[in-house]
Amino acid sequence: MTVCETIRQTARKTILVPWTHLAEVGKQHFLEIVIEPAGCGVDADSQFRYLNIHGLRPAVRSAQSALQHTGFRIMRCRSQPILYPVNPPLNASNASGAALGVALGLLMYHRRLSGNRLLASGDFIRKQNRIRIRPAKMLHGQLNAAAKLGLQNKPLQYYVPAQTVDGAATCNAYAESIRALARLNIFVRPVHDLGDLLSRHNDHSQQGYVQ
Amino acid sequence: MNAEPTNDELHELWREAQRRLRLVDTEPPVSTERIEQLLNHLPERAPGEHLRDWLAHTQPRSQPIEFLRWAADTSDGDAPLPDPDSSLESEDGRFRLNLSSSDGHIHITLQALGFAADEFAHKQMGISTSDRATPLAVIVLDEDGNGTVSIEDSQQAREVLLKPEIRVLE
Repeated sequence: MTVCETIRQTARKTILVPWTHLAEVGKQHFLEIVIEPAGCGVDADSQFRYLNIHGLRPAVRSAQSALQHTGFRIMRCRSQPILYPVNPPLNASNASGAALGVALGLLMYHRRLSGNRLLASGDFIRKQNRIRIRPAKMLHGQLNAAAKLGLQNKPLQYYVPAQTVDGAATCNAYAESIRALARLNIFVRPVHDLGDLLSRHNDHSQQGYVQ
Repeated sequence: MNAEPTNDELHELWREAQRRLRLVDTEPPVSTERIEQLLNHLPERAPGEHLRDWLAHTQPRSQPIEFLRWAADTSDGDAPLPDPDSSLESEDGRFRLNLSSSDGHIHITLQALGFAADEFAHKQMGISTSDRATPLAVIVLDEDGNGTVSIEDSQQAREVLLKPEIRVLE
């Protein structure tokens, strides 16, 4: 293995986003997005080209806007990443729910978030001049989909909106599903916004928090 | 002990073996399911129509072509339209469908792709769902296999478009 390949593999991050079929309950698919060094100079358009051509443009736009608003700065010392879907869905009809995954993937690549892979479902919404994570309508199906991943060897974080569409806390509304996922080593992390997520994550990191 | 068979006897034995194998190599009787599948593709038989004429004048009923819609999530009501600029491709890869809404209307654009453009040029296509007999909209494709239609934006129409399928109208 060449040095370049080693660097690429160690820097590679993977995001899993559950997708559900709009008309048929129980039909699910996991979109796997890989983020790795491009290996050459890329501009912002080329970085997201593969996601855009597979119908993920709304998710990319939303993620970029949220990161910009949060004040996230891309570290110039690292090689710029390229993002691509490993198993693009043929018919990505409504992709905005992948925005949280794209944003977290970039944060993970730029070492603002630890780990190499995560699960995420959610989109962003501007509320009172703050970018919040919008309640997900299809969260129930997505939590069920996550269970189909089965028992994980390493803890897998699953980031979801903190509130449901009815205004209830996700932890309470889906307590049973969340407990079932924890038994599979998949830990559901409800989040309000990116700033909240990063501060909590950093606090946990300083306390030797692993999961 | 039997005497060793002559060449002629061996040939005779092989012919017999072949005959028996041919007898074994016949198709099992057709199942009622297969007959029903075939009948589903046939039009109604006219009274007194000869079986041979009926089969000769038969054109198979067109098969539906499905579009699946996958969502990472949506907050746009219970029956959202696809994201703007996103296209749906049919399961067989021969059609592209675009859905958008403005001014209280849903705009449906259908494109036949590749060789399907010639095959479906000037055809009338109905857009519907599997459990609906009458089409939600009818699109007449032009010589390039493209067609557009606008329908009133309603909850019922949006529900049909959650799992759209198209078929050629005869």
